[in-house]
Amino acid sequence: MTRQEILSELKRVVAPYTANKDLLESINDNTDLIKDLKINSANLVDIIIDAEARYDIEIDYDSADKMINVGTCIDVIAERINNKNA
Amino acid sequence: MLLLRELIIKMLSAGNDIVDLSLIDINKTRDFRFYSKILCHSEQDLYITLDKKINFEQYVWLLWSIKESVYKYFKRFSPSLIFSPTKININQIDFPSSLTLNEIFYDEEGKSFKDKNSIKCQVKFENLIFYSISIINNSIITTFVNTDQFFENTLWGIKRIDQINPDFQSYAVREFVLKRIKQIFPSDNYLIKKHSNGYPYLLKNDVEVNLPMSFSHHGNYISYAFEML
Repeated sequence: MTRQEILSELKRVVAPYTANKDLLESINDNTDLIKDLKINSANLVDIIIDAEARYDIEIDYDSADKMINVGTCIDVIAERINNKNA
Repeated sequence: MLLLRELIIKMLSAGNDIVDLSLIDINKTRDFRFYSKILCHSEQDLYITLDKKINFEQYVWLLWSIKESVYKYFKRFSPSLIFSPTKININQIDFPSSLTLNEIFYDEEGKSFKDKNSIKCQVKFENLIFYSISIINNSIITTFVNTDQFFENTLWGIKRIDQINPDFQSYAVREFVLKRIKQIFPSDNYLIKKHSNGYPYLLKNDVEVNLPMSFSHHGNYISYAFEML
């Protein structure tokens, strides 16, 4: 999957949890999940679990704590997908 | 690390969190894939010793709120800290002699937690010991943390609000804490700003006041804590 493909899927993963749906269409690597998308921190684990299910990957603790903004989320997901396909 | 440790013990900070239990997904919380991202192995084992004083989903969110509060307390001194729940470890949990979860929620403010029906925990993070106080009922779990186990200087408040959009939550918690501060130190010239590292701070006549504070909001509930010598 390309980064662009992961990004478009990621929008669907975070959509249920953001109060800033207008911004969702224009997110980029620097968009912060909490500060910009106004996602409550209590939903961050939901996003990790939903991403695991959507991409059929496992995100371990050390990777999960890197998922701060859209760019780092894509990094972690891309790495996991590559490892799965290796 | 030693310097940071000394700093955290000596300097004041504040950390709190609130969870609106009507928003949690019980089935998801009970899923291993979910709770194993929040609880470490020893905390999963700790629940078994609690004799079901609270439901497992309440336990998971209790520990979440404690860990989030410790993270907020610590992050003031360590701006690059990333929240990693399983690295903040609850190693002791004490329940009150009678825990009544059916109490109806009402707005409440206080200083310290003497005589308060609460769950007390000891938490280890980065070789430091933190103490937490959590108030739990069927509506919310709210937690306050400190390095002082008696919370002598902690002023706190919890409140129900009608709107759940983040801008209103943020506005409401600021109004709530400012009302309390004005009762103690009357002045109309207070302003709360957000530091670039994420924590709120108080200005009086454009000068920062040494009153470390922490806010939390989730769903229909808001909570504040601040430290006062």
